Amino acid sequence: MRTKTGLIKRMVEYKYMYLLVLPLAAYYVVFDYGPMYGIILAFKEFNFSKGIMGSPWIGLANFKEVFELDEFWLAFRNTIIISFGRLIFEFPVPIVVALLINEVRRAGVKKFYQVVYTFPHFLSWVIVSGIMVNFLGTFGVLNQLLELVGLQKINLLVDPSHFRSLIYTSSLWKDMGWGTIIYLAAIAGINPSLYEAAAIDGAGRFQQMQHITWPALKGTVVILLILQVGRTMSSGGGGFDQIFNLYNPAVYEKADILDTYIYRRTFALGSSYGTSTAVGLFKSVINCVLLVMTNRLAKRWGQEGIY
Amino acid sequence: MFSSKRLGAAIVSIALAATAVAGCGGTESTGTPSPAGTAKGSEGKASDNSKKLDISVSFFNIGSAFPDRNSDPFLKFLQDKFNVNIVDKVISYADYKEKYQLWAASGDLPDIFSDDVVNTDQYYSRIKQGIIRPLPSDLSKYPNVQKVLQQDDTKGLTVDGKFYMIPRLTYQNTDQWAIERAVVVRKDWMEKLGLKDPVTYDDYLNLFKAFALKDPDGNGKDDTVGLTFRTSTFLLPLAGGTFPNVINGSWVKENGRYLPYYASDKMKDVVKQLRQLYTEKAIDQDFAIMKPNDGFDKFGQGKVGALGVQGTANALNSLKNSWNKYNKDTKLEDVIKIIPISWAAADGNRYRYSAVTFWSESYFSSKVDDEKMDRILQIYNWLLSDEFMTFKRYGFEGKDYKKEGDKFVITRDQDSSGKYKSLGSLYPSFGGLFGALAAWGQWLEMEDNPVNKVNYGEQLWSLSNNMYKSSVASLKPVPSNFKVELLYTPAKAKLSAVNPTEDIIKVILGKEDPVSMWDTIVKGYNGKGLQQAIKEVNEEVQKQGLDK
Repeated sequence: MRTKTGLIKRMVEYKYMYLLVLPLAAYYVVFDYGPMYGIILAFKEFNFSKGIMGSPWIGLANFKEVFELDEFWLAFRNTIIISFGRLIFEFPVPIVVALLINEVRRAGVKKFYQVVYTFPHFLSWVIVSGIMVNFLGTFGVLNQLLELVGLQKINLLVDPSHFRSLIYTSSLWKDMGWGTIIYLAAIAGINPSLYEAAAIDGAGRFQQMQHITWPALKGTVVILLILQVGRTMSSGGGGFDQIFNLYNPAVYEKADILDTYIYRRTFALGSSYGTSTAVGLFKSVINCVLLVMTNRLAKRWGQEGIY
Repeated sequence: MFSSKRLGAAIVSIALAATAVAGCGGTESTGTPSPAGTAKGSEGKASDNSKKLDISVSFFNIGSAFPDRNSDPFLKFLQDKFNVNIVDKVISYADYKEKYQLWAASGDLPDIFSDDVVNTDQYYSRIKQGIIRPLPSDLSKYPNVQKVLQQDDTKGLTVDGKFYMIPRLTYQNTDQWAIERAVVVRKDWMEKLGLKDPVTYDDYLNLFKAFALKDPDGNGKDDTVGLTFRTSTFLLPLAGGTFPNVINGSWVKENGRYLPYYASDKMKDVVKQLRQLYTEKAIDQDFAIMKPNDGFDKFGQGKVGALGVQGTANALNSLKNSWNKYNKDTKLEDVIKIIPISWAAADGNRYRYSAVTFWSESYFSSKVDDEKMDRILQIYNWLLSDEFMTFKRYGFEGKDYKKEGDKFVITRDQDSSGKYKSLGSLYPSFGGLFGALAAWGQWLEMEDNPVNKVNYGEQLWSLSNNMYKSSVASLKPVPSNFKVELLYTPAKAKLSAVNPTEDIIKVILGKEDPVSMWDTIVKGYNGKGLQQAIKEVNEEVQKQGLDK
């Protein structure tokens, strides 16, 4: 146990170190922690003339109002389903792709694949959704092909039963290459002598992957997994842009996530700072709980975790 | 070194944040005062304008109003005339709601701002919380403003006997909205397929279906669309022959009670018909995933037989711009026709769009004192005057036009295609702000004057104008009681959370029986306070005697 005076003594001793940290701490206080007092809006009825602090407290009324809406629970359910769908269908793909790219031996070819897979990430969802509408619309390429082979035309974008698979595949198309970067970086850090030693011991390519590459990659995978789980309620991060640009009233029942629902609600109602904050807070709390839980699990499984 | 810089930045930001929190409004000092702003003795104007005032303004288009304050003669003219300096606070159609919320919260609202909230929850809470100020009770000094507030559909808009806004008139009377909802069809395709002007529901269905399925462009491919829309607001009005109130989304009187149109039983036929139009491919199969104005492009590409759009010269002109991108040899005017938005009702009547004369209102921050309010009202009074209307048509006398007897001769610059340069491009502050600040004045577009005919083209303008005249003469306005539309009750205001168009799109694209789908949706509306709203509205109608 360190005594209080001992701490102060140490702080004085390292005063320049502390001084170095100060600006950054000030930055966080002003821009990150300061605005957080706005959270109390979730428990207030906002009054313009009185400001956030002066507005009257109304307890949990904002939460109650939101929780009574069917659409909220629909959006809540969709958020969870889409997020877990992303974990199952999207999360593993960049890992596999990174492992595969790593197996390509010629450096030039490797770079080529990497660029090809990474490029779509730089298109915005507005553009990608435009491409998709053209591709999947009534007179789009897909329907022309279907017609050519004598099949019925389909309209995937207005069909609720296909919409989620469309979400997963389109975001895979766009971001799987981008997701590999961090894994490829981790792989690049592996000492080549390990592979040489394994090769001398007679390990084949698959065995090398299994016993050298994968163990080295595991830590990174776990960290990214924890971060991903921590974003569950925001539908896997970046989910808003994608869904907002692709969805339409016909598929709300399967596609509407909390972020898009709140966006529409705030605009339709005009003045619902309180309820929007309430939902935001609700989302953050769940995200936080999930993050802590996965981190604990990861540690229990002998991994490092993020803190 | 580095850390002290960061520290300095942090201190500055703390200071900034502190001022933001303190919310000190009214000290706008943005922009350098232009030479135009330096007051020279205002020629013979009443001396009470001797003090130069800064007036801050937010308006939908204001972002384009002040590219260069020094080179805008209209801005100089207006600032000199009223001895004011106009300070712009930029908003856009995409974010004005949010920005006003934010500015209201930080006590930072501009002196004048445009919004469309009259008689909503927000409107009353702004009044209650003292965020906006009332107009003076005696407006006789500003006769043109007074006139706007004495119209049939505006004079009732007082709260506790006071006006808290000035309605921004789109048109001068409710009839002038007649072609705000219309369908533009390909005349050449109709002739080719041997189809006549549609009258009944079946005629409309067959016409749009033929456009979609009978290969009207003769290329042997299944690549044409029947009816598409400029935006989803044109979808519902299509069924106006079956239930007129869907054309303007108004409340309807049934069995002695007022209901929002979507609560009426007649909606069952509407959803059935719209579903049929969709499944039989009369309606664009992609309509739900189109973005606003995509319809223009599709039509321009020659893939569309009919487009739900405004029949105004302005809208047709936008359509023409898209058309010209793809069709160098054919003129749009030669291949189109405008037909009523919907088929004839069972009793033979056909209906047209009708609405209150204004869209959006001018509001004034409660921080505006009486002196500044007087100046603002002087400006509004002038912006509503005949003198300004003449300016809106022709520009400055001696510069943009000259008078020969009682004839106006346009002397304005023309662009390479022979069109007059628009006043908005010559005077950006007019185009982006003052032209529409007090009134949209869309009736000027309908006037038979040389500028309109040159700018829209004689043929296009006549096409629109003839449709307008025949619509007013032969179609009935949707029976709607605007006093009920503008009535405020708490539950009615909450109904803004209901979005019937979205729900109808769901029904149209759905697979189950449309009527039972719609029933479920309307039951859901009850959970959002529909019945309470109906009850409150009818009680108020009785109490205030709003029933005609």
